[in-house]
Amino acid sequence: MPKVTIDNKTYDVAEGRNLLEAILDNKLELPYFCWHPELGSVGSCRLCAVKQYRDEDDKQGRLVTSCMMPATDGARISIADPEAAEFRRSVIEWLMINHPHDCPVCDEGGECHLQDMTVMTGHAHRRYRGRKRTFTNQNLGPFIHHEMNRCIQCYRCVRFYREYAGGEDLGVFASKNHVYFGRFEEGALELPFAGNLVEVCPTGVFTDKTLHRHFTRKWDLQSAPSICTHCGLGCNTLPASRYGTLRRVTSRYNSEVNGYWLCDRGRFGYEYVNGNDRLLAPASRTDDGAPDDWETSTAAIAGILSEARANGTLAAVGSPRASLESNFVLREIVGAERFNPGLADEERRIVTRFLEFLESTSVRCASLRDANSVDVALVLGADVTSEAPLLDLAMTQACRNAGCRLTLTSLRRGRLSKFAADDLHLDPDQAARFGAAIVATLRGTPEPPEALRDSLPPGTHDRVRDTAAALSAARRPLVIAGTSARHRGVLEAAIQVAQALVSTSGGSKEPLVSLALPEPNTLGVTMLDAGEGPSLENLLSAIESGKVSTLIVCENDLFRRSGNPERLANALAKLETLIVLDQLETSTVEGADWTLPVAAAAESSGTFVSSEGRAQRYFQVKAAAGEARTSWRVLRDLLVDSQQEGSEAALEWTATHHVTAALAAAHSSLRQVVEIAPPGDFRLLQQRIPRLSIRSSGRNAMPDMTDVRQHVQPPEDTDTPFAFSMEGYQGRGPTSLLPRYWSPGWNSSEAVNRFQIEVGGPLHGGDPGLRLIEPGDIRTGSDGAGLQTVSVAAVPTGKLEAVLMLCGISEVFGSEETSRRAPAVAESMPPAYMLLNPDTAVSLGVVEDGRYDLRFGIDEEMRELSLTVRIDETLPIHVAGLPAGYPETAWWQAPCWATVEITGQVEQREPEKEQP
Amino acid sequence: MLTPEERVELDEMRSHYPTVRAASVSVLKWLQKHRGYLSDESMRDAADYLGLPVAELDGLATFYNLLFRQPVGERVICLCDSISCWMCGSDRIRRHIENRLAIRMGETSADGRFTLVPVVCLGNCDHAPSMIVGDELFHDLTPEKVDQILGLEDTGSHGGDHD
Ligand code: SF4
Ligand code: SF4
Ligand code: FES
Ligand code: FES
Repeated sequence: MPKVTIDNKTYDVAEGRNLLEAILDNKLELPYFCWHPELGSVGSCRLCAVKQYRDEDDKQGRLVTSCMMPATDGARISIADPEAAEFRRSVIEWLMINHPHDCPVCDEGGECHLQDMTVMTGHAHRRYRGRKRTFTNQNLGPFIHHEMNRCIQCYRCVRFYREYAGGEDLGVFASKNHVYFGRFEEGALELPFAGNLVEVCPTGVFTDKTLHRHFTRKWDLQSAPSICTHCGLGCNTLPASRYGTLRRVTSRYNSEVNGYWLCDRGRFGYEYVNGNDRLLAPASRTDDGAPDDWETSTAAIAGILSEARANGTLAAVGSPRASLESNFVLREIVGAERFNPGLADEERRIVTRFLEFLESTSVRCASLRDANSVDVALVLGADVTSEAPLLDLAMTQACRNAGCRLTLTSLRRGRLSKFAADDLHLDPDQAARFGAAIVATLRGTPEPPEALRDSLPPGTHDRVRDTAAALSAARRPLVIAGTSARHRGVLEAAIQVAQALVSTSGGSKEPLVSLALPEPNTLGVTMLDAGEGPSLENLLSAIESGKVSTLIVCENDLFRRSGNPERLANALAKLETLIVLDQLETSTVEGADWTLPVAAAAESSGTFVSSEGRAQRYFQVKAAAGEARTSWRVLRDLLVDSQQEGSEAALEWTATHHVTAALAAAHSSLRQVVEIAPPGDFRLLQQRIPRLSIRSSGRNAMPDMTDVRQHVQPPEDTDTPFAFSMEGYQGRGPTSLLPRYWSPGWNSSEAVNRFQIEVGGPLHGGDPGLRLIEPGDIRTGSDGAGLQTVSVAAVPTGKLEAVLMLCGISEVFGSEETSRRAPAVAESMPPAYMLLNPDTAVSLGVVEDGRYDLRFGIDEEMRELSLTVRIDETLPIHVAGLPAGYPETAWWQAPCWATVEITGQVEQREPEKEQP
Repeated sequence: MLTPEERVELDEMRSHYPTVRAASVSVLKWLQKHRGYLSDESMRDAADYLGLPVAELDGLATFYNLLFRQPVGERVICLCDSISCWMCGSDRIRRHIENRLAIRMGETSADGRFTLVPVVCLGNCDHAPSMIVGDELFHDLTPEKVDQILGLEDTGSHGGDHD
């Protein structure tokens, strides 16, 4: 280990670090701008200058930029040297010449790296009296605000946007003191990771536009560690609130998961929590005159539940977006065989199969960190960018840095295509067959069965051969499948490719696999259910036949799961009682007899299991909206009040960790979830950890904009070790309990370097979360000799140009349920469409952007709706793409052949002006 | 949109470069030569032709002094504003040109004949002050010499050389 002498003290430094990293790793202070652990050194700001000495006798030394110099053994440097300190001070002075000094009106103020570095260098006196250069700002869309005058030319933004993330529409223009960072022309930034500019830019050039609409300084924000709910990757977040509204979400560092980043869906999707369509109070449809408060509702519902249970007509549907705790208590109410986990049936089969596989294989389920460094990757039937956004960013790193050879099979060209060695545009059926052909090749059946080959477009065979060869030669190959295609064959093929890699390499390879999951707890609820509950199909039949007449649904819109809205609506109408717990108005809530408002993730505490199999705890950030309560609490009261047998234990469940412990004891696959974070009664020096910063100007009086007396007691909190206050333990707790990154002198997000063992590496005390499924030693596993691909039913007869395969197109903005209710995300969402290949459009006689009345015929059923036609020349000609997760397409779930008829064209009218 | 003829010529030029990035400045220069300046549309044409993001190309176009993103006059006067010329009185020359043409640095004369822009050191410091007009380098500039170069001897005085 190299030793470096810094200001006459000797420090150990890890191999391969530069001097700046060596300094920061040892928690010494040195200002910097342009260097970033993920973006590397470019030596453009010169702020990190130190004195370096040849040896002990060198008293002169020379100034060096520490981020550009390797920390070699025996290096001698000085941070404190007066010349170096003066140099750094002047660097800031030069940079501040053109800076507008507008901190009071700048959203970055109070968490600005430029402020921190200015203070650190001691530049306190402005001598420049001349004119400043000014710029015109651009409107960069609904997420990011642009204020170029504040720029200090560190180039971090373009290095992140272009080099790191592969974006193309942010550039750097002009030269000298006119350097401008922006777009060629005004318009929304195209990169779905653009929100990271807010944290990457050390000044207030790029700031969060959603925060701006309800701005609060960082020091007045109340925050707690949380988990993103907008896909299955489980990125760690820090949502922050004030006066009862959620104000923003920033990234919470986790070196195993999201690192420094978040995607824009995760960062800007939070505003649904503040929405007008939040359910605020319990409501019943029965007009019995009784008040709909919690007490009467709970009592009434408990009565209904115990009766229904007694005559065996009770069932429940859980949710992949609800916590393990809520799903567990719900399952306790109705029993395992009457609990449906709330996934669409096909999706549940896919996830169950994936879990079975993980539990019986030596293949590792990839973390995002793993994915960053794979050398060969195969994506089967998934659009990684929209299904698992940060996995796209990780694959981008693999391709840029690890020379990863990427084969993509998805419906059309996407963001990752430019990195791909092979980019095939296939329907999910073909993607599955492509995977199967690779398995055959890997296993030494060089000619894949004819049936397989014939169904693939010409020329695909070479791609099969090349991909198989690359996979065989790989050190760490990764196979990715998706669930939004709703096609089991795709996952089956992915599993078999991974398995074939294990068995043909004699166990010498360590293949990785990943399944993109759409919701935060898809894996968790499937583990809890363990395949014991009824399918949605069986549940619906039971309702139709009257076997089930009381249904309780927790945080789930069944219309997103069923694929047959009329049948579902009829079945729900047939129920005697439908009880729905949710945050937002949904189609399911509309038909409910009882609606119970429940807390969003940022308003409650619980456990999610991410698509990596990582159990992660999230903690309540703010009080729940209106009268909403945490789901598991509502369900516990129902469990207790309905006098369920064995419900005595539930009497003791007064805090989340009691439920967590109960579910860990009941499910061996989940037994470790108690270990992932300290329980709610955890204290440090008998104190709670404050959710507010020590500098909070709200002090203890929360509604101080009207009155400084404290009327409102902070909510009682047995679930977390946090306090709704700025008072409490001021030291550093365990990493799973970090409510913000702050250290004296470090007010910006850069403060995280004070929490890492080595800058850019794991956190002191370990990254939070725990992987529940680690690969076993099984080296062979099922050989899967028969290539079981599951295929979409055969083409119905009819005119070919009118028979198309309907496939779901997953959208980064729009396909996910809750984020689409956030205004900024809604603005970025394309309106519902039908996507066609240009040739298909010609044969159907439709043109791009035209709006048409369409009739889809699936089997005997007809669906009519109007959609805008969009064109993509990379889409296979036999496919019609429909946006997944849109209410307009809720009538349809999995890929299927359908007749498509154009029955008319919709006049495009100017929106009429409203009469005054 | 590039015409087929334009494409033929650009293809010829591009074949001399190992990569599209290497060819990009030449493509921009060529377009400027034929279209007078680089309009937004020309920038998009170049981006389409080269298969590079337009933001990246615009980074080049705005970086180089001799690539113009706005319409310019028939003759572009690039007056050196670096140190040697400054010491030898380039400011005086600038003011003279500005007054004679009734424009400021960066502007085009009303009759559309001249555009005045600054340029960095032309490597001609021993004959400072220097400037380029069109493709030609001029040095040891005096107000009289400038008038002569620009063909302004007979246009009378617009106010002459005062501060
Ligand atoms: S905009 Fe921000 S990140 Fe980009 S160069 Fe300027 S200060 Fe740096
Ligand atoms: S990648 Fe998924 S988990 Fe991560 S921020 Fe985006 S939506 Fe959230
Ligand atoms: S941080 Fe080292 S030069 Fe900018
Ligand atoms: S400074 Fe003008 S030519 Fe060198």
